[in-house]
Amino acid sequence: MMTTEVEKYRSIPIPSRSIHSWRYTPWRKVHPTGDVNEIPTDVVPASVSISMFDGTDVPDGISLKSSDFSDQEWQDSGDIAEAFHRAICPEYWKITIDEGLLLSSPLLIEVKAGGHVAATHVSVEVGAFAEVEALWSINGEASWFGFRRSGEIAAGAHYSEAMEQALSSSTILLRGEHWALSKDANMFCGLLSLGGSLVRSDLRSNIEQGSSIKKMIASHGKGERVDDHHLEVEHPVGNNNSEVVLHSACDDKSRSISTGMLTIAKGADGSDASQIFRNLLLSAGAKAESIPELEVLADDVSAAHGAASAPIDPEQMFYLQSRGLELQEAEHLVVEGFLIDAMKGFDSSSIVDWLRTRLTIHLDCALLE
Amino acid sequence: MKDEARDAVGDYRYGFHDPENATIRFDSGLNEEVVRRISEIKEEPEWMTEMRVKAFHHFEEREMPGWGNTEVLEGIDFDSICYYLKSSDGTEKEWDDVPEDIKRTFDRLGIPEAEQKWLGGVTAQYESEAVYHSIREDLEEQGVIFLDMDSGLKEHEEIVKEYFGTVVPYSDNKFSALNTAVWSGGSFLVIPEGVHVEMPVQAYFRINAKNMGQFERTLIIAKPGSSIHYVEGCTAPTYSSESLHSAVVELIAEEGSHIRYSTVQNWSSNVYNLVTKRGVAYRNANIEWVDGNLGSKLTMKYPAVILKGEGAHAEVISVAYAGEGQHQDAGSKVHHLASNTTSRILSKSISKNGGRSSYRGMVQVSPKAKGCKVNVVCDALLLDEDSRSDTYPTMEVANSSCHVEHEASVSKVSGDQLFYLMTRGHTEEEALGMIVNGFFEPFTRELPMEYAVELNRLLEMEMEGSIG
Repeated sequence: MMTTEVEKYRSIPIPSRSIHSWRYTPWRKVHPTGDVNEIPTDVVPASVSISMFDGTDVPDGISLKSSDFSDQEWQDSGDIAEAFHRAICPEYWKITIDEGLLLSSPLLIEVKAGGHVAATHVSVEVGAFAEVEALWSINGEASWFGFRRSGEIAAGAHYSEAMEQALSSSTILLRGEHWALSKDANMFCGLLSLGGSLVRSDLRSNIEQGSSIKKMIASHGKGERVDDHHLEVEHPVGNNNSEVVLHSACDDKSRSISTGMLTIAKGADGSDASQIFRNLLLSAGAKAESIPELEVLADDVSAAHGAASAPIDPEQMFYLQSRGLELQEAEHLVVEGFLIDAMKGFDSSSIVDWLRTRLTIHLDCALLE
Repeated sequence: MKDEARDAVGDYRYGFHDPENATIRFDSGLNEEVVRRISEIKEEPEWMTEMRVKAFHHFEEREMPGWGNTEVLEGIDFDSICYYLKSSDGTEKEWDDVPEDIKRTFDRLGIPEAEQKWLGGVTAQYESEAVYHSIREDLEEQGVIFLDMDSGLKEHEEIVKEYFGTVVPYSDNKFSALNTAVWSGGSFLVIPEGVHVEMPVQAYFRINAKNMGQFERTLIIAKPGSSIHYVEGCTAPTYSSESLHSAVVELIAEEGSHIRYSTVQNWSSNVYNLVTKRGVAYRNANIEWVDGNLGSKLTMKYPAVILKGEGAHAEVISVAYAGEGQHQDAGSKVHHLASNTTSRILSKSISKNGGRSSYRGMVQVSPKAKGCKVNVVCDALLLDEDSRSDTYPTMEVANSSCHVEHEASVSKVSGDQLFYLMTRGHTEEEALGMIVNGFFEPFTRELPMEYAVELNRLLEMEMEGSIG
């Protein structure tokens, strides 16, 4: 623990509810102990490993290194979660993908969080004109896990990733990430948010001219799970494209929270930005909160957002049951279709297949519970 | 008008002002003594004086909102504002009895002409007090009560005491506290059971003096099965110093009743327009807010409906036009507390010459409200590269049987549309004006025709010089 980082954290005021990203999940709730002044000292570093999905050796041009934060410049964003993470996180990992690397099989990245309080930071650097697919598996039994990522996609690179967050159902997850896309870079991100009792994710991106980002999130809530996503995409310059899609299926007394902000800066003409939040409410106790926000300071743009919350269409249920499915099976099929539909923006069928398999396993296990 | 004032606010049709002929003018600034004196002048009952004083203390303690355009809000100098100014000796029932200078103002605004043609009743408020009030005889005979709020309190104290502050309590926000402390004027309207008021009733609010604060209070109660259309217009002269308009409007729509509240706000761009408007709709009742915001320096206004009874419906249609130096922070709030309630919000905004328009909305569905349906649509047009549009919608759904939809888009005027109209012989300016009028058409078609024509004319004036 670094004293200066702790001081920085303590100097940041507790965010008020009038800040939409903190409206529903106050900082106290996602703090490991609930006492916001307390800084845990027994933080366990999460393990991070890489392999190739097809079982071959990790090729030259991809490296994973761990280090302390001494070589990392920290840009103080004033975000309390980031400052806290910096104060407690014992190490960070850096995945480097060399310029021009073309991978034929996806890279598998496993992050495992154990112990009472775990934390890690993974930085990803994708070199110019590289074309890489990555599958992230986030799992473990930690009671509290602080997980941050930062990434830079260099000019002309194409990076697609799918992430399955399957932490223990009792874990509190505090997640944050920031991606910067250089000129003409492309990024596709798919996330299955399935684990954790309370998840607070703050996912931000900043895109340059000619670049394109698609963020696709599918969340499944059971029990009293709370899944709080804050998604920000900033267009500081124009002629770029961003798309955010979040589908959330809420069962039992679970709660889905989606807040978002698309910012198009003055002069960022030619920006095309969209943000869609859809919630499927499966039981009487489920709740969904959506705040999709837009701030547009340029006129020659296309910016749109939408949000919808609804129960399962009874006609769909009737149709499936008339084909011999039990009520619960029919509901799971609809939920699976709804969640995987969030991923239809992917250009890689192998990634969608992987996500579909992970989702089916999760839903089948949920059916057996 | 002085040059610096013209530079500050641009051309504004209602920017003329008459010399102040106040019979009572308080010194600028607010304290408990001011609040008690307002109440004393109005010879109010004790309970109202106490409510005012409590509200004043709440106003003092309450912090400014930490959201919205906080920079502009912090610029309000409450000490420079006059909280009570009376320009006539009373509220007249005959137009001829209204003081000549005030009459001239309203003549120029076209109020008497409109009354003769198409209104069921009129209240004209000048500064802090209503100066003219009339209601058609047939409506009076049907038991419709339409008074300025001060007369309402005098003549129907029991009704006012029962409802005043029940929909918007003084503790709701800083500006509702301010209004409750220093309110003066406004309308009091009670429509008896089963009475349908076919012709709209109108209130017209005019600020004339410099650094004036206008704090009218309106209470409309629609008894079961009744209906009313209330129309409100607002203007102020153009000064280089700022004025404050902070009204509170409370609507109570009892079972099966229908209230439509239309506003065309066209304050000059030196007015802070910070208004709290809220209605409660009981079983099968219907509340509609038709809200047009063209002027002011900063408008923060979010007409709200609490759907308290099963089958109630809320409809909010709002348009905002933000020109140079203006921020229209408008939107709507609907709270679904009962089952099978429905709501529709349509918001349209245009930003031009560096203006900023923001939609800020809230839809809440409570856990007990089954089968609700909500539809929210926000469209924004940006007419140049210096302007700005924001959308801040909040949707909180706690019942799984409800359908909630929201969609919003921001765009500029389509080149194809302009090209098509120009090939039909219109200049680019005319074509743009037609597109803007068409963009606002869902709003204007809900207004009485005279208002719609006037609004279109105002928009055309605003659009002049948009090209090149």
